[in-house]
Amino acid sequence: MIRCFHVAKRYGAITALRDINFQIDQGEFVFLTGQSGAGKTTLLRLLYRAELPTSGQLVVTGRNLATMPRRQVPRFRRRLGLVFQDFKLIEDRVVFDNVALAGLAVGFSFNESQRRASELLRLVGVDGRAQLFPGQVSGGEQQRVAIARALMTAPQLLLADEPTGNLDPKRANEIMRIFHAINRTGTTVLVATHDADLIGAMGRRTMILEAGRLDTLAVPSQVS
Amino acid sequence: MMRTDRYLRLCFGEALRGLVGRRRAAASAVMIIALSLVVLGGFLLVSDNLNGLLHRWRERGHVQVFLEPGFTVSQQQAAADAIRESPEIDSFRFLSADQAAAQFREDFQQLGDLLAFLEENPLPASFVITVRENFRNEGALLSLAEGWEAMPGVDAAQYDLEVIRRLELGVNGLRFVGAVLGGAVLIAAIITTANVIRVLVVARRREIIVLRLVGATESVVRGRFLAEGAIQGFLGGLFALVVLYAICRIGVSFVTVGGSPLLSLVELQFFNVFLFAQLIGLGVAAGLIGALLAFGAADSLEQ
Repeated sequence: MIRCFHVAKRYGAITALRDINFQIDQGEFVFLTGQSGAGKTTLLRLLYRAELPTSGQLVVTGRNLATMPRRQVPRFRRRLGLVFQDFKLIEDRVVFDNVALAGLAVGFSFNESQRRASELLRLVGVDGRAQLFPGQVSGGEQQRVAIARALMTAPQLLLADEPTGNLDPKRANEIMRIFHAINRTGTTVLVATHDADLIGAMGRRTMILEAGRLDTLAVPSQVS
Repeated sequence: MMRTDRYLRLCFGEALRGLVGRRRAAASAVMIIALSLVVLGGFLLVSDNLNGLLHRWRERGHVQVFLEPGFTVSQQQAAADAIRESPEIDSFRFLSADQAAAQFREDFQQLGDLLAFLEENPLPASFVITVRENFRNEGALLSLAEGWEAMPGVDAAQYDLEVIRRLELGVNGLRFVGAVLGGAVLIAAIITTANVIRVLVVARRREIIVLRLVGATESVVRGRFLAEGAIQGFLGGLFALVVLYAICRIGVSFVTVGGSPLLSLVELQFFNVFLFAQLIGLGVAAGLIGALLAFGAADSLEQ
């Protein structure tokens, strides 16, 4: 699903990532952890082709991102589901429209977008909040809405960047349970987080980034 | 590839949503587009009507052959015979000096008394000749006029083309001024539209980022802003047409009340379909160009 060969990313004199090598197979659930500034977000941005690596090769869902033309990025992103710490919801649209818009934007019909949005909101347990604006629901519910939106295109790979960073432990665990359920359907999940407790509780393969270098492919007990 | 109907529905739906949400800014863009099109369209309207007037004037094909004061009956008869025998002539009539004075009094009712104050009638007798349609061109009319002018007892032969030519110059000048003025205001309208949409792009930056992240193509991301520009331009064009129509109606009533001697030639008309489409098209084009200019703001956002 993801193959990363000697990837480096530099911003001028600053090296954000250096010689990153890893592989994530289809259907895996993997954590990416490290201190703030270790390069987790940068690595994720490379994976969803928001940026290009300075060197190395990155193959995601069978596409070499280093050579992929920009016009093909939208189609590539429909294979991914993206979830962020700040939810990235549109504040002046109700929860339902936030999800349905993603369907309309990728070419689903109005009816299909509505149907999918309705099903997904039910799936993540916020269907009762569908007609409220994001500001009127809790952080945990906003993240569920963001997950529902990420699932609109039935992605092969779900990338989450600190998805529980703004949530209390109880809500964080709920979000993780949703990711777990999604993963059980065969979707590959990569979650970037610095929450060691969460990683320990889930017991999944964990990659640790330190100062831009992927030092360890750890098992949960090694994460501290 | 997204289906066209879905694409248009999405773009125009989102555009209308955006316009309603920012109706004040949108209204200012619509107004300035309308203003520019009123200026441009106003000049087009005037020049179009003047062109119509000139066309009808030219189509009359009148030549007036004035006789010298004191012409003899035989000279008048000879001139009449020569005119009658010309194959270029459709019809002609003799207008005596008294008849010319009576027509003057009829045409200029307010100035009718002027003739009474003069010692003698200054209006000469003449032949009013209507030339056949095939010969209503400058070359033929000039040749006819020169021929008749050479006849004994004839003072001068006048035809309308000289006046028409001068008027045409005036109309072309008017069009040029209209194009320059209207063009300048149209550029201002494009800049205003661009600014309105740029503000909208910045206000919608999160939405743009989200759309790109979920896999929307650039045509979808930008389509709504293009649609917004097009709608603003269309509304501006429509508003300009309403204003121009009102001006045109007022113009017609003014001419009618004035009782001008040219009234028989003047048929003030509103835009034809081509001009109507041109004006709306210009409005839409201005809106679209404004939207395209505004994309600089969107390009700097996260891809």
